[in-house]
Parts: sequence; C-alpha cells; structure tokens
Amino acid sequence: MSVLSTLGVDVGLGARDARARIATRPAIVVILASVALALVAGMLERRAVGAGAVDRALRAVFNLVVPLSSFALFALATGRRRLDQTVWSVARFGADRRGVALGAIASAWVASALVAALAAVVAVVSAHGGASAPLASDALTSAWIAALTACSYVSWFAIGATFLRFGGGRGVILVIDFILGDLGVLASLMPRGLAKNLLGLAVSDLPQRGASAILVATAVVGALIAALRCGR
Amino acid sequence: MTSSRAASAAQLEGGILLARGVVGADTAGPRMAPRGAVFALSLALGRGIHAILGAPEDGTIALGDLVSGRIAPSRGTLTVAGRSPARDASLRKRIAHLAHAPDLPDARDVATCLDIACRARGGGDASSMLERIGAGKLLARRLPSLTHGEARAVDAAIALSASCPLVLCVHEPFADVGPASASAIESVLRERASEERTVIVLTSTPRDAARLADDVLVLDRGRLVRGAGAGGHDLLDPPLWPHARPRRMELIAHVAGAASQTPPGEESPVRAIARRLSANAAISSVSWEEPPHGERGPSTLRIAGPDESACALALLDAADAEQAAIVGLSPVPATLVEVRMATEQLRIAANWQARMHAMTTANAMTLAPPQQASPQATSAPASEAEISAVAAAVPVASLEPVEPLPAPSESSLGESLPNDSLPAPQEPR
Repeated sequence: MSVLSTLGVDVGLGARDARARIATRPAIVVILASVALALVAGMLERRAVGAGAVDRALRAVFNLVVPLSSFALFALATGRRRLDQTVWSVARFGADRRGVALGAIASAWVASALVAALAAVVAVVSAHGGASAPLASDALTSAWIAALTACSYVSWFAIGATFLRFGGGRGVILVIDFILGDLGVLASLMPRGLAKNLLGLAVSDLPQRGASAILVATAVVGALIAALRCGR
Repeated sequence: MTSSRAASAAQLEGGILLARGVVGADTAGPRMAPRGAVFALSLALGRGIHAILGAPEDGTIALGDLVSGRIAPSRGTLTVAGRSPARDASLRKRIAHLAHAPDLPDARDVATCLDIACRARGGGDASSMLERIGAGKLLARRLPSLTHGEARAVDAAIALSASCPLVLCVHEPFADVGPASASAIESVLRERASEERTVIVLTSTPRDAARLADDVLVLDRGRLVRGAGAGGHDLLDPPLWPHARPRRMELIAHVAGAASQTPPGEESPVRAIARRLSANAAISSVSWEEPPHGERGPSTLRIAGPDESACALALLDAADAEQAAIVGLSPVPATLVEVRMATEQLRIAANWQARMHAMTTANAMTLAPPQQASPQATSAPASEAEISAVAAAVPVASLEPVEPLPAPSESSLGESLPNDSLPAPQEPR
C-alpha cells in the first residue's frame, strides 16, 4: 500500500512538473494553430463539395493536426529532452523516475487529448452541411476518437523520447507514422491507421472495436514501456 | 555473511560513500557531450568534510553526477550506505546535491518549486533555508525570471535543507550563488559535518578546499591522484622529483599607513619596510601597493622567498625596526595550476620510480634462479566486503593509493584497492 501511495505521489509530482512546462506561451500557439487548421480544412471542404465534407475535413485533422499537435505538446512536456533527463529534475530529490515519467506522460495525454478533441469538433462543425450526419453525435464521436488517438501518439512519442540524444527518437516515430502509418501491419499498430479505421476510412481489416482497443492498449502499454525505460 | 551485514549497518549509520573502479562521464559539454569523466576511481569517504579539488574537465561534475545518482557508472560500483544512488530512488531522498548548473523542478514560482522538492524528498524546509542563506527575497519570484546564480541559490537551499542526509555533495558552493551568502552556506556545511554527515565539496579553488575541508583530494584528468591533510597545506609539498625547482613561498602583509597619511618628506611605513627587506638575504622579491591618494586603508606588501618562515621573520624584524604596524599577514594561496604542476611532478616521479623498480626486479629475476611466488607476495584485489569493513572503520576518509611509489608489503586500505586506480603514466593533456 505504501509503495502505491509513494508511486501516486511521484506520479502527481511528475504531472505537476510537466504541467508547468506545458502551460506556457508555445502551448497557446499550438492550440491556436490546431484550431485554425481544423477550421480552414472544414470550411474549404464544405465549399468544394458539400457531400462527405466532414469526412474529408476529419481526414485532414487526423493526418496532420492530431499528430503534429501531440508531437509539439509532448515536446513541451519533456522540455525537448530525453524523457529520463526530463524527469531528473524531480527524481533527484528521491522520486522514482518511473513514477515521475508516468506523471509527465499523463499530463501530455490530457493536453494533447483536449487539443485534438477541440480540433476534431471544430472540423466537424465547420464542415457540417445539410447532408451530413447529426452534428452533436458526429462531433462527440470524432472528439473521443481524436482524444484517444492523441493519447496513443503521446505514448509512442514517449517511447521514442527514451532513444537518441535529446530524445530525438520521438521525431523518428513521427516520420514512421507519416510514411508507414497506414500501410500493412503498421496500420494496425500506429495511431494513424487505427484512427482512420475508427472513422470508417478503413485501411486494414480491423473491426472498429478492435481498433479502439488497440489504441487504448498502445497508449497504456507505450506509457509503461517508456516509464520503465527511464529506470528508477 | 554476518560480517557483511555488520559492515552494511556500519555504513548506513556513517553514511559512507564507496567507489570501486568507477568509470563515468558527465553530459555537461555542448550538446550534452562529456565535459569531464572519472576513470577507475576508487575511494571511501566517511563522516566530515572532504574537498575534491579539480576542474570540471578533471571530472568533478561527473563525480557529482555519479554521487547524486544522475548517471550510473559505466564500469565499477559506487554505493552510498551500500546502495546505488542511480538505482535506488529512496536512497536519493538522503543524498543532497548542489549541481554545477541548476536543474530545478518546473513551477510557476520559487515557492512552488521548493514545495515540489520537499514533497519529493518527503521533508525538509527549503524556504527557511533560503532565508537563512540570505536569499529569502527569491521566494516570491517567478522561476523563469531567475538568473543562473539565483537559481543556484535556490538549488543550494534545497540541497542544504535536506533532513538527515547521508551525503551532501556540493559543487562550487561559494561561486555563482547569486544573493546567497558564502559564509552562511559555509556555516551550514560545517553544521552538517558536525552532525556526522558526509559532506563532499567539489571545487576548483584550492583556497576553498583548504579552508573548508578535513582532507583534500586532488582529481586530475579523471583520476584521484593524491591527498592532503586538513587545510590542504601539503598540496604543494616539494615534489619527489630530485631536480625539480622548489616553489617560492609568498606572503601578503597589510601594513598600516600609506604615503598620503605620512607627513611630507617622510617615507611611508610600507616603503620603509620594503627598503629594509630588499637588503635581507631571506627575501628574493618585494613589491608593494599603497591605497590611491585620498583613500585611507592599509598598504599591501608582497614578499617572496624560498622559506616561508624566514620570510615572515624578516618581515616582523623590518616592521619592528621601522616601528610600523602589520594589521594582517597571509600566505598566497596556491592556484589550481600550481596544484596541477605539483601533481604532474609527483606523477612523473612515480613513473620514474616505478620504472626503476621494474628494471631492478627484472635484473634480479635474470640473476636469481626461478622461484615459486609466495601467496603473500601476490596482490589480489580485495573483495567489496573487505573494503566495506575497512572503510567503515575509517572515521574520516581514505582513498586509493596516492603515494607515488606503492609499497607492496604495507597493509592499508589503499593497498587493498586495485592497481588500476594508480595514476596513469604521462597522458598528454
């Protein structure tokens, strides 16, 4: 019990530390840019061809806005350093590096999920037309898929941030996701392919329920792997 | 098994630090490249204040990072109270470290930052310590607004406020600490040492090392090469190298009175003393400096000679003869460059003697019939338990062999440590 409570304290401290790094001016820029991109995508798609505008706008959001905003927010949460170096500022006082890392990842989860969900809702609202599905349910569904996808991205980036100097591995993950994210086997592991499956833009044979389960699993397992790689 | 447990208990109580064949590099250089490293470092530190003298390039930052647990040794073992700081989070609660560059938890203001640190550590009152070292006004400041020195002062307050630390490791505690008072920091360090804690001062300033520490160890290019007793007075001992030139001893005296305070036509006291000293055979050079015209204060007289005591005696005689008052007298502290030079001479002497020893042994082997080596003559490395047991019995400090000429027959802690911790032969800097 005491181990759990100590871990809880460490996670809380890590989350607090990362939250202070995220709550800065660059984060506002990321939010504004994400919303602006989603808005522009929605309006352009709606003007071009009304039918299927929401799907196309969401495709733009999930292809570009969600991965990039998650990447930027996670970079802020880690101070653009390796994850194990980031957590040292708290771990040096006796907190477990793994707990602090989990806290930092959790903070990045929350921030990225909120921004991604907001961008998805903005895209749906701005692209919504007469022939589209009911606005409220469409926006809600898109929002939770975007939030889940963002969490999965953050966990992948967290694993990447434990490799290379300054955590450059997270950039490698981003590139792999962009190039191979909806191809072959990787489509059923990388957030890009799984999110498209959930949106009905199937790139693999995975059922939607399976895709969402894998998204959740990659988010949780990825965070745990990244935390374990930080050591004690 | 029982003796090992007893040694561990003794270590825990004494807060002893043990390093055995440790290799590790810091990441303090540009783009996290290593700035310094330690090689085959073996030492045992007990209670009291220990100064480790060296520049960051000699591995002081690396040593601090290793002790704090920031990095794990790439070879060898480093333990505090029998446990590894890099792998034991609960142990880090009892290791306080003032790093060369502040690495504070991110927070909106200093008070929140201190709160995070104290929560992580599970106690301590860093805010009071910040007040005590004279930097209390930083408490209300926003963290991003702090300068490097101010952030180090906050870091120092966190390190010094640790309740019952096993090891307190401070890197240059008197340099670049913003508004914090050096004397207050020094008093806290002495307080911790008096509480039977192990205090390690990593510094490149021989004056600080000599003033503060019970013993001074010299780190040179990543290796602990020699030690000095309390006050570090023998840091500049005449080297063993037979043809080396002895160091000139220098003294600084503050003489009351200056030219502007003496009646016209009369010689100022400092000039009169200097004139008298210039004729003294014990003095090889004299220089003086008087305060600018219109300013009051003592004049400074600097004298040098081969013998410090003879210099001081000549100075007192001259002052007595000229009826002048000397208000202060101090030796000129050694610089790190001088310590390095003396260390280098020791290293050369050690190499030379080791070679002579090897040649003598080789000659003896060619002349004498082959014999079976006796078990006592072989120097097998001691086990960790043996080192622990010896180190636990050492009240203050001991380290790897610092004698330039190792004596295989003597029994000491240094002898029980592996020979790879010996000074390396003449590496180019």
